[in-house]
Amino acid sequence: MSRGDLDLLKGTLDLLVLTALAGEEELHGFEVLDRIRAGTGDALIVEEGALYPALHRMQKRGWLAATWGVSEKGRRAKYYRLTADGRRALTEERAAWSSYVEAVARLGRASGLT
Amino acid sequence: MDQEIRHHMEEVADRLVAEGWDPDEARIEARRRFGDTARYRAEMLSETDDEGRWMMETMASLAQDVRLAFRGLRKRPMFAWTLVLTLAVGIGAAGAIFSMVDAVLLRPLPYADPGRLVKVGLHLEERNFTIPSLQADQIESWTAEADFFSEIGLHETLSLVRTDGPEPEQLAILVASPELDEVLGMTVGAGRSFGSDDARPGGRVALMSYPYWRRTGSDPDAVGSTLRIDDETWTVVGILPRGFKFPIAGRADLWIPLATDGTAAGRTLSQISVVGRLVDDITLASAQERADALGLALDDSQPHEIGWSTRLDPLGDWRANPVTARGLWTAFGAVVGMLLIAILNATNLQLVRAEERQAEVGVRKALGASRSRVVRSVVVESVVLALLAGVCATGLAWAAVEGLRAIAPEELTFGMVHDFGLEGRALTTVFLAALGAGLLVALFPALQSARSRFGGDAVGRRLTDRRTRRLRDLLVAGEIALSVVLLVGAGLFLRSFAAVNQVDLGVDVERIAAVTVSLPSSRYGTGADRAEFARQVLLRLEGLAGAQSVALAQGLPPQGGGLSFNLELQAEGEDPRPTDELVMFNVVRPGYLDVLGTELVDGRGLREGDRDLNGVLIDRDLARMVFGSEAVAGRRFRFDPDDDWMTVMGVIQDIKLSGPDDQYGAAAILYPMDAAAPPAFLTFAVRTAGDPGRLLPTMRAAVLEVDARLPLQALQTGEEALSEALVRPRFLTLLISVLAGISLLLATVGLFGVVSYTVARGRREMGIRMALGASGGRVRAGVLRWGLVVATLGVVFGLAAAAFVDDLAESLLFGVAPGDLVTNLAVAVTMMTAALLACWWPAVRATKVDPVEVLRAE
Repeated sequence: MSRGDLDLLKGTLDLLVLTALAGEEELHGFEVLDRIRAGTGDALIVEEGALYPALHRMQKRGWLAATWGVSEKGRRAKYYRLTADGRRALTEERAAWSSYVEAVARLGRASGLT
Repeated sequence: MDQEIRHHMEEVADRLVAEGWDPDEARIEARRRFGDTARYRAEMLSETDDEGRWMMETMASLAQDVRLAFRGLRKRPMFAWTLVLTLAVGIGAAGAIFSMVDAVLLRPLPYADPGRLVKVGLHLEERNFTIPSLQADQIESWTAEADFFSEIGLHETLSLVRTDGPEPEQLAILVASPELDEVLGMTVGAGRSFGSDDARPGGRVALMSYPYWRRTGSDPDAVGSTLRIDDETWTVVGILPRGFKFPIAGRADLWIPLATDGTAAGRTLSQISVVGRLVDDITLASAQERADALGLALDDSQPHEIGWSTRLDPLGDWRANPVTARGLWTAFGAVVGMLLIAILNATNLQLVRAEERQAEVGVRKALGASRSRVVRSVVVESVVLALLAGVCATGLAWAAVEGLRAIAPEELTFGMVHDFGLEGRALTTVFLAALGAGLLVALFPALQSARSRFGGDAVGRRLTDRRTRRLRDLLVAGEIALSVVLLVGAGLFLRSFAAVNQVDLGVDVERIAAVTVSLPSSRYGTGADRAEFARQVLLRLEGLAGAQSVALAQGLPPQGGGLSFNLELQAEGEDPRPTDELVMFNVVRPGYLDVLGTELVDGRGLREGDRDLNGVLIDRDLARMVFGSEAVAGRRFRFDPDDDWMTVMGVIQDIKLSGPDDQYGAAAILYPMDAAAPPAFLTFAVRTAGDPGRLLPTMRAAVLEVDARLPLQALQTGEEALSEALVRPRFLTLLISVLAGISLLLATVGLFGVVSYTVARGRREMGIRMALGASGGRVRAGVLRWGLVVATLGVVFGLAAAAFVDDLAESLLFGVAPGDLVTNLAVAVTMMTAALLACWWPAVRATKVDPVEVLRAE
């Protein structure tokens, strides 16, 4: 993965994680990955090495809350869920993403792309 | 954090197993897919805030460095402890001695503008002897003329007896003119100070010193209370401030005013001391010039006075007598030498350590440690050592000061104005000095080792750098040279002290017990009163079991008696001859020679009635001084052409009335005491067949039986009196000897360390040589030869340096001269022996090298 791709991913990774968590009460890290992969039809695969720093960063920012629990397989796991701040951030990120996508599309149209 | 990763990997592995992987391989694959966990952790850190991250990283690696340092030092306890203790001993001792010098000599007096305060003394240039006061009859005219002083205070010491306490108590009194407190800039702690009204003759007011006020119960109503002194009632008008002390006077319980007629407590003072504050814009030197002019005028009025002049000295100089001051500076010089040795030693140890570290550093660098990281770990180790040294030095300094306080002779503390002890500031200084020294000695070696490259160094086979080795040899030789200087100094002091102790005092002190009293004039105003008292006491002492003979005198040699100066000696039939020699005298009753065990050389001892004949006893020194010969019994002489002739009844062996070192002169004369009117200051001496110490309690009882209200000035055996007189040389000798002993130890340890290390480094070479057939003896000889060369170099330079340095101590020595052959030889032998011992053990170890083992270790 080239550096530019990583930057792009970093910008959208938060949005992906927040979106994945929005549909559930709480998920542990592995489930978040699974959910992103399944939800995007294997189109987007987040690397493990990137996911956990992002989770911790967002927890520190107050977007996520974490609790230790026991997974269905009986293992100790750290579960994340959205906080109120996290939902607000999700809304903002989604809006930003939409306007970004729309802007790119507009540019495409202006450039004669269909 | 780690658990979260572990959980993730387990989930991944489960998934893989479900896909058909072997469970073990699945675990490995999961780990592989996750990638570098360390990088992940670092990235986690990068997600925390920057400052915290920096702190965490630094702390973590610093903690690692500290752990590394401690581990390294634990592996080298000899190195660590030798270094720490070497520095601690050097700096701790220097701190302790300096705090003593500082308190006794250096710290400014705690008075207003103390640099302008000057004390006036009478100085005899030829003998470099200063009396701390002026003749009372000269005071008025002198102070009137002394226009170089803006303020003048007069003072003198006195001893009075207080009788309203539980026991009669001898008080130390400072007689002060009412201006003295203003000259010093002192304000009383409570009550009021003396006013001019208090200087009227007959006034009975006193100021109490703070320590005396505390000692007598800290009475809150002390101001205004009365004391019964010399059978008179005195009123306390004030209390001196806490911590206030006047130099020269020693302990002063009370201050009483000096009356305008030159009396205090009804006594006429014959000597009065002067303290003046210099007029602004005048230097001490120009004040001295004007005082000289004044002094000459005084001399003219008293033609006999030859060689005496008024001498102005800073008041602070009077805190210690010149001999004590020189002794303290000598001790300070010794401790600085010792400190240098300690620092050389520590540097050497660090050089050795740095070489050893080169291999270690090479490995670390090869494994990717950055240069700064390596330097930091070296610095951390040095800081750890320096901190340890600081802690130990502070502890040692504190202990040393407590020890010094315990053994410091009263002569040293007498004039002290500042209490000496290590307060927080001094302890901090000692700690910082040790820390600084610890870092300093580590600096150069540390940087050197950090510079080392990896490669050859890492294998640890790089031969000792030649320059470093030479530097080490020089440091060791320097240490040896310095300790030789100190040892020679200590040797001279020891020999001098031995010489002092061997001096024939002319007195056999072993069987003497003595009690000294001072009869207060209030109750013993007439000679008849005193004669009756003396008769009663003598009667009781003669009846004591074990008393062989009893005598009465003024003091017991080597102390007591008095000193005549300004003499014009005249033997009958010859011209008077002015001399600057001093003559010690004592006033004695017949029987004195028997008690002292002093032998007659010519003529006879004193008898009753000799006083009417103006008969005296003189010692051989005085006989030679006056007559030029010793068999002079029956001849007549006098000290002044105006005096009556004195007849020599007998000549006695040389008797040291001013101490074994003839501090004030060797000549002695014994006058017969007036039995009908003895002096107020009296010593009763008893010669006993048994232990004189056991006689003391009964002697005390005998005196108190005659007068229960009389405090005893002294109650001691002849040996105690002698030991008191030798307290200063003993203190100095002890101090210098201890310092020199430690220096010898340090230098030996330094040599030992370097030899051991060199041998350890040279194991490979030794192994090869022995494998090639060199015998153990030859290898051993090689190590010893090296040690001997270095030691000889040190000893030669040390002896040469000692010849220069120890001249400075000459005035402190007695009966031995600097450059003394015996001392130099003894020191050379001692040092070479120590050096040989330091080389022997490592050399023996060197030859225990098993060639095969060493070569295999490569």
